[in-house]
Amino acid sequence: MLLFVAALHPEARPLIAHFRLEQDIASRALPVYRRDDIALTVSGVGRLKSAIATTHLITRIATQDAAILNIGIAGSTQAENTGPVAIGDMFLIHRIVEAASEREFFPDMLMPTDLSETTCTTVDRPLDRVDGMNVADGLVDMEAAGFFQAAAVFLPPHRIGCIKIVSDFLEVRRFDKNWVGNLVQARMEDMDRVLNVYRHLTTLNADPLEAADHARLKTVRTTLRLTETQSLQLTEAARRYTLRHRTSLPDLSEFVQLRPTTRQEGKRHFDRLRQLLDTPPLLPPVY
Amino acid sequence: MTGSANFSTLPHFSHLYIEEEAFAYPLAQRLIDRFPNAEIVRITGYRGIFTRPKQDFPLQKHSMKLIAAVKKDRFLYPGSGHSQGFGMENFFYSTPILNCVYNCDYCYLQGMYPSGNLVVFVNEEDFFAAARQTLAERVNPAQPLYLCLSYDTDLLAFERILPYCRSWIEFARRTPDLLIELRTKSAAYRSIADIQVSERVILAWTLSPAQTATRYEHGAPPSRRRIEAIRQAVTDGWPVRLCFDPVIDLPGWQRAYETLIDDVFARIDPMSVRDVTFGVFRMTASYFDRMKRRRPDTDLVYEPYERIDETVACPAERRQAIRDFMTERLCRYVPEERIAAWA
Repeated sequence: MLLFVAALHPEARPLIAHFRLEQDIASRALPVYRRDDIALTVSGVGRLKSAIATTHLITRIATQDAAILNIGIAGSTQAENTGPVAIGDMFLIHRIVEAASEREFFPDMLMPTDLSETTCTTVDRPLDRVDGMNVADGLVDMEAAGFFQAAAVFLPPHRIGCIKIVSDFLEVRRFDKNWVGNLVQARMEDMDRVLNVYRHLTTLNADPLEAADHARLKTVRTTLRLTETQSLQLTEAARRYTLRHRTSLPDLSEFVQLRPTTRQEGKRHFDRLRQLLDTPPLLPPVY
Repeated sequence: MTGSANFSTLPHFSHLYIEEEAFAYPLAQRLIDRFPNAEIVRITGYRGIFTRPKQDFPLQKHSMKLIAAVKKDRFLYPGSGHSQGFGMENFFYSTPILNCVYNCDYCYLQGMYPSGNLVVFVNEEDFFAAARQTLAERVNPAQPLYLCLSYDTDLLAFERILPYCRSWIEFARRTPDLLIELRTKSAAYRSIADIQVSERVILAWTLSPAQTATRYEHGAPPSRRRIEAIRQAVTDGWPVRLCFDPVIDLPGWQRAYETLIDDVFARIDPMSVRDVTFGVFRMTASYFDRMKRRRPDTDLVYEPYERIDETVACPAERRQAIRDFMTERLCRYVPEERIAAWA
């Protein structure tokens, strides 16, 4: 599941179009757009609004395997034409500084992307160049710190990302909506590559059981009407079996067809199932 | 790691997170020089990144980052009950680095730290000052200060990046009544081979049968390379400790450890080894519980262990079997008084 939080509609519009998202009319507090395994919300400007929208989106959507990204425009602390940064450059943020509290936050950078990285400082009101001298070199926005803090309540830091496109060099001015939309639109191809990285990150875990194994175990749990403790024991036994045998789970279809009528009968089947999963491998011993 | 088709991570140490204050120290500069292509991120405090909630330890071990920090306090800790103190009353350990470049399935680090990244403390002189102070205030002045430096990490494995072993060996040489232990699985003895031998330094190598090492000691060199490193260290005259710890009693373990012990002492004169330790799998219960959640992919977490107070360990009869077997086999080469056990 890929989730997006953008502050402004012009920032969100290219993503909505690219992924052909449709408005979720059931979401009344904030606009949410969805299709398949992608969802997006538009938060409004500011870190508090961003935190609220992030929480809204994550709690509305199943979160276990999601990655969430804050996408939007930001100002650069570099003076125009004095360094490598240009309008339209896109950055992956490796450090977020909350100017008000001076706290810092770190998305995990685990997989390669072709984006440059930088620090983003989140401020509470638009900065001009004079103010900008007091923040860390990099970018300045008004949402990232709120977004990250909310997302980090639910998700691990490698599945929280922040992508910023340079819109200005800290000159206070009003942006034309179409111009902002075009700025994001122009980077959609690069962004797509980064999003694939995050999509891939949502699939990684250390569980030796595959999704299909969990589905089979769930069917067995339901059929045998296992308690929570028994269910945990079953999952553990299944993991152990997979690791010891270095194969997938044995045929469990026999247990799916059972219909125990009493708790004792269910317990007997469960014990037999655990015995099956405890079978030592026929392979030679470890040593 | 499931879902790992086409799974490619950034290389280890692709990012150096360096505290503002740490930039002033030569070790931080050395890191920057050592990894010229790394992304350098200035940070205010190492805990802000190291102790974040919900970090994915196993995934981070595929792309470890370095965090350079200045340690402010608690430079030395009293020795843990899970370690062998060898009857030393002034038993302490210290942590110049938090976390290890290796990733051994049975290691308590799997459940101890919230992160798979490494913190390196760059203010060595403060550690030395703390060691001098603890030495001066030690409980039993008749015994040296026994200081283990490589428990929560592997310093020798890191020596080519930052030369902590060299610094500590030199410090021990000029500090009477100090005895340090540098425990390792590394074969990188060459990186300290030019240093003059000191009786105040014990080089301790952890050894496992080849199959155990391959299966559980991810990133560590094979046992035969460790044995060769030990042979060179012994030949050079270093006090060397051999650690068969933990003994993993999977099917066929007796044969595997018998072969390992015979191999080791076929290449290394037992009389030139300072002492030998062995121990069973044991871990603080809370670390084990966390490890079990984090590492469902290692069969070690599904063994039927026993909880004794706050420790998870092999059941009593397995501990006894390991103690009896290892003592008997080791005594063929080394007098019993030079063998210490946690079993």
